Amino acid sequence: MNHDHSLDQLFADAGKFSPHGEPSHFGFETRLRAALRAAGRDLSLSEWIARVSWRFSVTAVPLLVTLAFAVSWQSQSILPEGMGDILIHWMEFLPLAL
Amino acid sequence: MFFFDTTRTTRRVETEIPESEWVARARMGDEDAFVHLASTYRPRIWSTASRFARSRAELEDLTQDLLLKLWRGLSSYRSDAPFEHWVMTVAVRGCYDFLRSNRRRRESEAIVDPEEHRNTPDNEPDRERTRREAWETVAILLDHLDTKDRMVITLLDLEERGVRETALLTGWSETNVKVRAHRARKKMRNLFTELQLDL
Repeated sequence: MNHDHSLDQLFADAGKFSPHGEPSHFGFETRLRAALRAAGRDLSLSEWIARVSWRFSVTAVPLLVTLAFAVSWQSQSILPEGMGDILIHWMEFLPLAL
Repeated sequence: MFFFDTTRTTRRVETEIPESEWVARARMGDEDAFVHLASTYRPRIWSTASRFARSRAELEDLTQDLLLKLWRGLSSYRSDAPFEHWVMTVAVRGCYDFLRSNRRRRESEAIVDPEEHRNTPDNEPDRERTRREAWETVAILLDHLDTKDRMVITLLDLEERGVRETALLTGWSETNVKVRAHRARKKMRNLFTELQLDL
């Protein structure tokens, strides 16, 4: 039995079949217009956060971890004393003329 | 009695407007222009998406989602490429996302929608029955493939698109498409023998 031939024939027959029939035009335009209007409105704050939070986490978390690691590595020999020294030490990394 | 045949006039005016004009209007936010384009391309999107949906209701939702993706992505369309190609690229990639996100749920579901299976007519012509049975067999085999392989087989073997076109639509290299197709067909052949599916 030539399986390649069988598979080709199977694909040829299956390709000509519409599994769920043809699309119906009934109500199509109404549903599409309603969906377009819903899609066009501005997102609320919670919707916006829900939309970006996943992508933001994927992008930001590795960057923040790398940055924290680099800064810790760079300053491992410096042991600041007290909260004031720690703040001053970390503020030096800010690109501001303080 | 005298009256105007407005249908004929409207149809003539619509066909006189080139597609690029409809696209330009839709990009400016003209909802009517987009609905016109959506009506034109919906059958093609429906045909491709029908290979991935389990039921007609799911297919309706998927097609609607793909049309919304087109609406949202219109600003990214560059007019130097054919609009149809851009539409099908968005549709194919949307179907891929749909398959990927629904894979776990689909694995626990029946392969053929029983509701639709019950509606199979008794007086179905032989040719149509052969095609339906072939599709049901292919659907079983496709369900054992990973998402990318399934996508490649659907575009290459069921929709009879070329390797280059499949590569452009999916965004994968031609080599990747060829390798995946070869591997997927081999897997399907083995599975076909293993399950001893009747043709």
